[in-house]
Amino acid sequence: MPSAPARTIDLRIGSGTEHIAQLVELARMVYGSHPDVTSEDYHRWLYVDGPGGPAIQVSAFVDGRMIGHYAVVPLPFSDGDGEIRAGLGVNAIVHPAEEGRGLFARLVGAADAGAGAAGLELLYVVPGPHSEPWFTTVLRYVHDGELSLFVGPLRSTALLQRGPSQLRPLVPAGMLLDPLLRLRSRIVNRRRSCGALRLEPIERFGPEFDDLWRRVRRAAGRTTARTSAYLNWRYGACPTRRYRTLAAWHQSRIVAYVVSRSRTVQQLPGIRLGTIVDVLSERTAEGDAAVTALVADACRALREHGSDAVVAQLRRPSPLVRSLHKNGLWRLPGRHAGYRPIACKGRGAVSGQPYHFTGGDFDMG
Amino acid sequence: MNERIYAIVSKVFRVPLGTIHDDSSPDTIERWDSLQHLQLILALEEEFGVQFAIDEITAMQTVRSISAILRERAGANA
Repeated sequence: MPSAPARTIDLRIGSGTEHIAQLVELARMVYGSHPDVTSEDYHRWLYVDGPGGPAIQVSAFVDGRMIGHYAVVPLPFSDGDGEIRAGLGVNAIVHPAEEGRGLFARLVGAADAGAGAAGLELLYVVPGPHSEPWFTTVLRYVHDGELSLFVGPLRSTALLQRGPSQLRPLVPAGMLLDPLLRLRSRIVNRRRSCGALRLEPIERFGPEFDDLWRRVRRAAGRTTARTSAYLNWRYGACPTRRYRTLAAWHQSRIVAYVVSRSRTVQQLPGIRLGTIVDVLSERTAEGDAAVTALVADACRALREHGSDAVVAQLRRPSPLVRSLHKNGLWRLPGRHAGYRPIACKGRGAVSGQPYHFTGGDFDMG
Repeated sequence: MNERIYAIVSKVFRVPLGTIHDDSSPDTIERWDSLQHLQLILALEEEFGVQFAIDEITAMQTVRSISAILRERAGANA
């Protein structure tokens, strides 16, 4: 059998918007109607507008046609002692006809080299099941824990009615459970309103969030630096996602905040999922109480807006797990569709430090 | 060396040994996807006691190119 004619794969490294149109076209072909990666505005927001500087983008072309892409988004990162320049790997896309040829490794290798040249000291990724082996073998990343998935029902009846058909017989049980869930939510909400905390919706993150970050960053350990600049970009400026942020005040300071959103998931047709995207709090009694109250309020709002269940991703151990439990979110054990490992390369990879890592720290692309 | 490479390819992609030849590639072996490509690399590294660089991995487009890379390695280590 004759060999296929040799092709030249042209690898281009960039940091602007010159390839975004082609990237969206490739993403549309691979992912269909995904709301984020098929939006040019989304990529401009992610790649150009971030507080850490422009993303290092690597795209592969054959005869001028994009066949693969990967990017590293610089982000302000903290390891508890100080800030380090880190980069999050996102948007690995390889044209299906190009799989099995090592293009993925080539894209990531080139992006990592570009990230190093740009001064990024630590690279991290949250890979899916097909790419994780690549990162932790030939690409020399180290496994650094994983995100646990916590799940809780909000509207059991609707969940059981719209979920897998095998669950339909449980609908009557759901009709009994729903009032109990609402009652528990009211109890949790009542406990928090003992006059000590004031919950307020946030449209814009001001200097009070920088103050909170300064107070908590040492205890938080390794995490994205949650300054107001980062938070405004991350949760205030994303063109394709609508987040709801609620903060808790104790006396004159913010002691915690929770960010949530509602979405549909392709793998769960007909089900609307609420997500606790991000959470940060003081490690004080007020902070702990605030997170519980904030999560309760987020769940209430998500339920009222039609979410059937709520999920949260959190790297354990974390003191925030208690608040999730109080609100009926429990960890799904073992490896499942929501299992997400974390892998790192560079300065202090596998530091052994405490870690604060939520879904919001990686689910950007 | 080729026999060893063919045997590994056959085992990783679960195809009959007799169907492997120098032009075998992702275009001719249905199971040759990115995950299996990685399994192939790891199996070759273990069999031949080498650790491939990324540019070598991406150059492994056919059994012929795999053989060439390994021969070059063997020649370099001679």
